[in-house]
Amino acid sequence: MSITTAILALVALALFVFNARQKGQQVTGLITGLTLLLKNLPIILLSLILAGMVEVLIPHDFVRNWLSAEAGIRGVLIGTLGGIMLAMGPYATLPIVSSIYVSGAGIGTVIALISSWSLLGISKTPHEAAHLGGKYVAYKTILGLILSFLAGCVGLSLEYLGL
Amino acid sequence: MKKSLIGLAIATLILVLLAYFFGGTELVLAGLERAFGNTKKAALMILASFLLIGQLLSIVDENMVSRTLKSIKGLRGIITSALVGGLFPVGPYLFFPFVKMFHGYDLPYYILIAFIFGKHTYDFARIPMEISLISHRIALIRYLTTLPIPIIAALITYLLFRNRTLAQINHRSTDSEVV
Repeated sequence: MSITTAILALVALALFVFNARQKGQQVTGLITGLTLLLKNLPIILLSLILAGMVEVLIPHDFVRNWLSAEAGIRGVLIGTLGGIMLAMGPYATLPIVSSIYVSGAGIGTVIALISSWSLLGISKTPHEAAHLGGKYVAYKTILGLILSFLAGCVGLSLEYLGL
Repeated sequence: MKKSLIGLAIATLILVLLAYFFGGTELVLAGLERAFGNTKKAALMILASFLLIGQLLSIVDENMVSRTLKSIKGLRGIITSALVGGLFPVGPYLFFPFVKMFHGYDLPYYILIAFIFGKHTYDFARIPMEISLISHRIALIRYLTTLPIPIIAALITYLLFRNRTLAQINHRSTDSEVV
């Protein structure tokens, strides 16, 4: 068991105890978690296969020239725009992002990608437009694009600094 | 859920076919081997992540979030709202109808923006998945670099719209359309 798994298990245990003391719904929480896992398992497994394929298919020259730290701002820009296109939930998106990172994408690109996917992912737009209006969607898109790009630039700078 | 599963299955099939086209059975097997390796590496972490998410879901509820949002203002309000957004563990099907509930309340637009951006950027229930599926280093850097996003977004919104609410902003556009 890795340290990360141990930490996650400890946090889950701490929340279990907190839940038992504060709300008494710890068993419901346990069932909810396991049900959610079972419900999402096909998506997770499929996306892991998809990510494996991306890893072997993605041309290394493309990653080096367009997505790596050496690609600089260009990589951050592609990450920002690419995140909008990832119209999937986290269980499908994160393995794909992981495969892109493993293939050699820079930290700035990965941060811009996750940030713009989480803020601007195209699958959210119909919900937002329907419930909050087109004006909100336009405003959020402009803000989200700028801030995701800037976050990617910060990530890129950190990578240049060797962090 | 069913739709996204079908979409994902089609995308996976296309990539498997592409791998076969470019590198034959060997490349397909190499891809599956990577997938199997990643699954083996992340299996326990994924299980722990979902146990954690389940507890979080049963601890944080809509009433708690709603009560908090209605009682906050200013910079402290922005930070609280962003954090509460990050804690709010529901998907888009429930999240946006919930946000729409605040249309009728005097909730300033900047607080709403902090809440929505906090939900999307922080989404604390996603941390375990980011750690198990990408890496703890990337997850940490990603959280640190995007930490100010909801606060900056809310401050810009405050500068532009002050204490106006979403309803006021939307009605103004409707009024001007009528005129």
